[in-house]
Amino acid sequence: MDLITAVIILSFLALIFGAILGFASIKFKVEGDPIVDQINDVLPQTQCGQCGYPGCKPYAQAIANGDEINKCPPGGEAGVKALADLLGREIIPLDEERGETGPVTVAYIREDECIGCTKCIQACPVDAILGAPKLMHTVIVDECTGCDLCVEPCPVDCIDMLEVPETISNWKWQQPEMKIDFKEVS
Amino acid sequence: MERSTFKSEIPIYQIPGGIHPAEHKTESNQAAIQKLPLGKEFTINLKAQAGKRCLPVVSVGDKVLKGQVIAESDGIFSSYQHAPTSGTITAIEKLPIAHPSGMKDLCIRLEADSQDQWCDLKATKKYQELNREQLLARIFEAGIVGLGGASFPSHIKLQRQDGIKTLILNAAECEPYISCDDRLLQEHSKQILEGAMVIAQLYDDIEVIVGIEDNKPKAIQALVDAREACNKKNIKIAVVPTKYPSGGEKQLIQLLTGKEVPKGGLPADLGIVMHNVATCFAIYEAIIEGKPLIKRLVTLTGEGCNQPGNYWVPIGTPIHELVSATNSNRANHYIMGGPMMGFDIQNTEAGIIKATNCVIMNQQNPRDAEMACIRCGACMDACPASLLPQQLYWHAKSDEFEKAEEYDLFDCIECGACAYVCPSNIPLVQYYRYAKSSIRNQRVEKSKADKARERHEARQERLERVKREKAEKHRKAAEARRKAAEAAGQDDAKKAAVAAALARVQAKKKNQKEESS
Amino acid sequence: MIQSSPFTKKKNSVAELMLWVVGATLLGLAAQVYYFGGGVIVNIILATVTALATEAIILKLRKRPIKQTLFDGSALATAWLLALALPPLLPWWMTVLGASFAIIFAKQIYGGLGNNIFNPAMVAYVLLLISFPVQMTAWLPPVELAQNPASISETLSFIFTGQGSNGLTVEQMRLGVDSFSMATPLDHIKSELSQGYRIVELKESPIFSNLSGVGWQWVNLGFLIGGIILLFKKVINWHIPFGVLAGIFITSSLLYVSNPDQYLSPLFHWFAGATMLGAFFIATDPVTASTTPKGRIIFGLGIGILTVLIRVFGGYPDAIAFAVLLLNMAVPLIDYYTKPRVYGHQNKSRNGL
Repeated sequence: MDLITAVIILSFLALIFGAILGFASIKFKVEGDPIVDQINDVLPQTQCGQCGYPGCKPYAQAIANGDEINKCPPGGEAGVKALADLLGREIIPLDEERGETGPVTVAYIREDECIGCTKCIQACPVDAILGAPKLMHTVIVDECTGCDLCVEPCPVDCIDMLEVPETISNWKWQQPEMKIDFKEVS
Repeated sequence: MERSTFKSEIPIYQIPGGIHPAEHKTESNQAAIQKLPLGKEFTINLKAQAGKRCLPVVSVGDKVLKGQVIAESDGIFSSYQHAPTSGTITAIEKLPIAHPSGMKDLCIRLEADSQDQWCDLKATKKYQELNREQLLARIFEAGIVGLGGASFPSHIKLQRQDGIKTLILNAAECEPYISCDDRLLQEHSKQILEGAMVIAQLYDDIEVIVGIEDNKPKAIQALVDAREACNKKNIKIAVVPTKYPSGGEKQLIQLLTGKEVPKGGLPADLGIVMHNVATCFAIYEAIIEGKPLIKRLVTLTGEGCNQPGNYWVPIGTPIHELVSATNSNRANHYIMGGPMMGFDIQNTEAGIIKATNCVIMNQQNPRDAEMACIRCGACMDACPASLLPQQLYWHAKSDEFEKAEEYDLFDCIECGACAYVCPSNIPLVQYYRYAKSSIRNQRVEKSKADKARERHEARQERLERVKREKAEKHRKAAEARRKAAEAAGQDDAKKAAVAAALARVQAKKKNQKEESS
Repeated sequence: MIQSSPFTKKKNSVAELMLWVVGATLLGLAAQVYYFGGGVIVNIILATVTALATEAIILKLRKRPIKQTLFDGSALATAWLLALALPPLLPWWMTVLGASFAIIFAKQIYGGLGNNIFNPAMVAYVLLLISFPVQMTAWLPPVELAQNPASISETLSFIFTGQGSNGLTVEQMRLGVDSFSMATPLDHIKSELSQGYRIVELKESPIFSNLSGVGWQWVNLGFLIGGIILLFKKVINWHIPFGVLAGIFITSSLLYVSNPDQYLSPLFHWFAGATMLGAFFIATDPVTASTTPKGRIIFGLGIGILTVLIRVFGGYPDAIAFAVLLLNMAVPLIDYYTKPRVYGHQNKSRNGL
């Protein structure tokens, strides 16, 4: 008899709390970004396609559908970590087949050699190259993501990827060197 | 150190925190202001003011006169640079600059011809006759920026007029070692007050307060005498107790008014405009004597400096010339600014800039090793902004920048009081600067990424649209063709019908003929 | 490596702070030695040696620089404060156990100095108290009441062999007629009250004196003076000791006013047991205390209130250790809600709380 009473009481309680939770989930529903947009926000938007998808958004979609989070070399280890944090997944090393995380670069067209073929313009995922047929082209440095995609199509090989130099405006203080290295053992 | 007994003419409020480091002012503030022999070469940094880099208007090989414009303001939020002496432009290129990074940036190098010949100056004895716009334009063209340390272009600070009720002259000079404002007040109080009157003229009705620490009794006396001499009774002298960092803009406002500059706001939001006394002196020279800002008073001091004192130094004078001019051969470490907020000079080729109030020459001492934080809270007790430095340190150290921002990292004024008192020798300010510069870079990257995404999406959309339009065009063309074809087909049918009808008619006729015949 | 400003530094160090803390206990220690004999000195030596040795071994195992950390004075302070709280004739191995437990489990396991949540000395004290309640509450009678005060050799004999020269243990001595060992005044009162005595009657007992118990009042006064020295030297802030003493005062006053027959006066609580040691030396441990100005006061008040409540209604005669540990747990919460208003910010709160 006691057992039955207990079961009944517990079931009743479960029912009530369930109802409260259900009500709360509807009443206080958080309207967040859909997960794809959140993932896309973390990706560096280089649009380089090194992940095997035609841009960052499609890769974000793929991650949301269960693809690995380590296919973005421009995002680097920090990117993998950010994705892992966002999605609650394991941090895994970067997929080296996709390429290495290098310094940030921008494309530079050696303008004397440019023949004005517009092939690079068509390749640029962010419309950062300016020019017209048979006229010299140039890269809008501020808009270039350093994705590399314009280098290959150029028939005269006049595009270089240059490292973005450190200037006083993007110079950064470093963390102090700990004389006692607490990271040494862990 | 000697303290003034002068009673403050307005009530003084309290600021939280603060420290009392050894003052080291007497080394440099005893001797009268001196002039250094004219140097041979000057390196003028074009990005030495807050805002945009100025644009050179001379070319290599040009001969310039002292006071001539060599670089123009790039837009309004920038400044002018003038030749510190007469001579020849020998280079416009990236040269070492006075910056914590030790990097190079665009500079103009000037070789002196030792004539030191002025260009034509536009002196105005009766500045009262100039209107607001004219005064502001002169201040702008004289290249005047805040000389207290931030190099904020003065014409921008002075632009806002409505609601400004108080002009505070900052003479607190709270950093150890520095005594240039002290000495300037002792010798040129009159000109400073005159400069303040120029500023006051920009506003309808403004109260002038000089905020000064009580460790400058001679300067206070000089101020009182100057006020007497020029009969400027409405200027009030506010003496604050010596405590670092009472000379910080926000802190001095709090000391003198009890009010706080709201987060993200400006002193103007409280009806206050604040200028350093050296800036007032520069404004005096610019308006009344017509001289642009090409020299400033610099304290040369430190344990390694053989002739410590205050010197008039032309802007652009390389640090090594200051070292050799004072025979400071024992020094091997140079700090620009004070010991609390200054920075290491890594290349003594760098020239002094308008914000250089002090160069400390000493011997490099290795820092004591950083130990674990024991959360003693000494930093918190010293923080003038009421932050929790121990929490900021914790988050900055472990790259938790969001948390650091949550603890108001960007309200930190980097005064260094926390690091000064830390028993564990933790270089706290460096952690905060590391976190701040990382966050700034991240923000730039983020906005770049956002822009790239937008551009990419716009491009995708355009490509789609072009494809759609093409398809549409094809479709329309096809339809047109089909219609044309149909039209053509119908014609045929009519013809056929006509032909058929004719044929029928003919056949009928034939039949009729056959029948009739 | 580019170093940031400031380029000048106040001459101070963690070791200096810790040495001041240890030094400031000397007056209280002297009173303790005078009234309860030299056992406490032996405990201090035992605890210090153990703590330093344990710290060195753990640092070695964790591959950390040993010299610098070992001489930061923190292990010394932990050992010292623990030893001051232990009964003078505690068997040597208990002291050793406590000191090593404090270093290993209350400090190093969290990552060493600065990372521990709980006050190491108090963790060790509580461990010993709940494991060996009898030994941990066996104090000597103050010298004025002792019929035959323990000599140095007797003390050493008790500590290292567990029995006096006549072969009796501390517990046996306690039961014996010569009252060689006895409970602390707080302990005494607790057991007497539970037997239906009233405070007035208890006041007749020779163990009582003007402020609190014989000897104990002087020990507490000694620690109070030491604490005030620390305040003047700015080694500690006034907030926490003020909070503790205010908390004790408020709670015990309320009880005392409600029924003076049943409850001790605030003054007694102030000068009995480990009050002053706790308020000025233990609760002020920077690592485990709250760090905001308001938080420190709340932290202290909490300790004070809990101390009285546990002393009066709990199962243990003294409660500083429990109160400190309980408030240690609350520190992150206290700190979060007592964040000071930053310059130029409109309201104190963030996140709308």
